[in-house]
Amino acid sequence: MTTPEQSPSPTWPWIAMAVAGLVTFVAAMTVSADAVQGELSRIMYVHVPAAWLAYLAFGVTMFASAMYLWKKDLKWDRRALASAEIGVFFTGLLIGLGMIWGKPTWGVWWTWDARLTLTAIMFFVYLGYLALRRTTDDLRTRAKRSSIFGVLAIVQVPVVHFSVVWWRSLHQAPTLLRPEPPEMDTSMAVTLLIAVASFTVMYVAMMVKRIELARLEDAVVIADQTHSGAAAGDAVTAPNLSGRGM
Amino acid sequence: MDPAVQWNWVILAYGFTYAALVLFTASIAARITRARRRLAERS
Repeated sequence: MTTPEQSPSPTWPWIAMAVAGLVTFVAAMTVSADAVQGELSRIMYVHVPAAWLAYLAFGVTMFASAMYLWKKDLKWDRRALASAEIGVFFTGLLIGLGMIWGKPTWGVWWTWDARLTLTAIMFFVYLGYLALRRTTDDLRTRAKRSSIFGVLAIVQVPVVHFSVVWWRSLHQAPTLLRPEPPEMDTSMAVTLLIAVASFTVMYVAMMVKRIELARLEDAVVIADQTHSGAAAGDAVTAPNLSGRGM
Repeated sequence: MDPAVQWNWVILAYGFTYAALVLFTASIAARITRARRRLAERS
């Protein structure tokens, strides 16, 4: 049986991430510019996929959290953690890209619009999920607390997505995830789908490596607890009875 | 807006994206290496 530190570390995820990044870049730089927004429309090919991955990652976090609460298997907790961390990363990227796109089109880096504000709240809530996991070293307690959090926090995703429909917003309506077909040129829609697919490949590759990391980190915690438990056990089973103190 | 100025914003957006992606994946790789070393020290 191989121990976690001896387990193979696949290299294909690094290659997949690099290829997916390259495909997105080439597709976004070669498509025609938008008639209204001009070259700025190229930001869409990283902004929209980042939003999609944030939704996907938090959805997977919710699913894995629910599976942990059902099965009590720590592998589901590690999957929830991996997806939540990647989701926080892509939400941060999404907000940053939105600000870079917002300044030349709206004239401001930030405005307290419903979509922007709710996305920022979602970012901080999932940062809270990651912080909650650091409050205890007990793997079971940590998994239970964070799984309940992971299931409840998903309510924000539909609220963020439909915020542009439910409230008057400076932000445009959904581009892809909507009942009607996309209102854009076919070449732009195809490029956007290529970018979304590439980012999804990137997400899968990141998940493989982040789950590998979570498994190793859990093994370190267990090794530390076993080591300190053995020391405490020695103290209990073999106390110093000589009366000579230290 | 002048297309050249628009390109500056596009370059900023893609530079930010790829720099963030490289840093995030590098942090995962570095933490994997550190965890493997710590496990090896304990075995």
